[in-house]
Amino acid sequence: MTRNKLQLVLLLASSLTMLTACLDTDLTSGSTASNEHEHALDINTLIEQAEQARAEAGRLGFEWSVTGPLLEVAHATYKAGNHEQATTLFQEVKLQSLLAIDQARYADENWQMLVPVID
Amino acid sequence: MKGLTCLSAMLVGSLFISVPSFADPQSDSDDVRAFFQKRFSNITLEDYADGAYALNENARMQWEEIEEFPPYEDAVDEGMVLFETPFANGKSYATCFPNGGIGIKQNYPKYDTETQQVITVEYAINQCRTSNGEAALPYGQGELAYVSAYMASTSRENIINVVIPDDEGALAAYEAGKKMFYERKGQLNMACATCHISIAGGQLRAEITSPALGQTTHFPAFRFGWDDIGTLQKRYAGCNTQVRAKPFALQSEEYRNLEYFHTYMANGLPLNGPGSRK
Ligand code: HEC
Repeated sequence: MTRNKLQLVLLLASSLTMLTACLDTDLTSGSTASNEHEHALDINTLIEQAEQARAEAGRLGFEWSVTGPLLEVAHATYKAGNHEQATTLFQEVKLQSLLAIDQARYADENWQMLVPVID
Repeated sequence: MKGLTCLSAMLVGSLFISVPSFADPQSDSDDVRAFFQKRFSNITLEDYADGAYALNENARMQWEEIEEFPPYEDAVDEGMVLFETPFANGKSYATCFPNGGIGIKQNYPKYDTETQQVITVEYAINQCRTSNGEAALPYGQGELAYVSAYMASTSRENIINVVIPDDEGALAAYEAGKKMFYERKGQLNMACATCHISIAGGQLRAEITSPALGQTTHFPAFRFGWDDIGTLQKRYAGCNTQVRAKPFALQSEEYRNLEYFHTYMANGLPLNGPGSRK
């Protein structure tokens, strides 16, 4: 084996070890009390952010029609105890609302682009 | 020194360019007409009152057949009865409108400089009710739409004459309506102008999209999709929802401003409402 090849094998081996170590911690530290608390805090912050973003999109007149119904589903999912799926849904509500806010900004600057031009 | 003069000339020049040009409704309307005239060179200005049916012979023939037994006739009759029935206080709709409410739709929407807002026929109908102690009615369909349909029927053939007074508020309302027409929104990121100007006359699923010009002439309209007569703003809400944008409340300031802009564009066209549409 040349020196270069040896280095490569060592490198691969060490990354594999590190990766397993990471996976390990992920798998073992899933449900300690403090983690659950953190998770709860996180989702509450996310809900607040999602609702704030949605309100802002609405204030600008750019809320999407699909966002409100999605928010209802998200809340129902959260109430039913499915926090993981609820998180995904609240994230989607937040993302849609941020995109709608961007649309409003874009419209403010560019709405005249669709006004017909006579040449 | 010469450089400085040039620089200040450029600065002053750019001031003129970048300040948003003040609303000029007449030239807006001229531009839209010129645009459509170029695209649909074979139809006349009056033809725009027929919407998508002006653009497709087949659809037009089917529509003319339907209009032989107008599906909105009952609504107009019912609207007339409602219109003529006095309120509990003895007054009636006629007391709230110029000329007793007959043959006046061509002048709406109006800008009321006193209350600084756009007044549509439907908005005025509910104003009339509440100022006479009656409950406001829903704006989309039902009794209010019937009253409006009757009022439209007495204004048939009258030439649309929306006035934008030389008033800052009126121009701002017009400009807000114009902006709403041209801004992209909803999950599909489309503007009214996308469908009713840019791709007007094109086929969208099973429908031909009508040109923005003349879209307001025949409302309230009977739509088979609604199975009833509905107001113009009900259609606005439907089109907003089509692109997955949350619609505004009917007769909100936003939609009244939009109707102001949208109807002004049709000035000079004859009213032909109520009408029927697929
Ligand atoms: C995705 C394309 C699309 C967008 C965006 C859209 N519409 Fe429409 N609209 C349609 C289609 C399709 C119809 C039915 C066919 C027709 O008559 O144009 C229609 C019909 C209408 C009608 C009735 C026309 C008639 O002759 O009865 C009006 C009024 C109208 N739209 C206004 C608007 C306004 C105002 C907006 C913006 C708030 C808008 N539309 C946005 C597709 C669109």
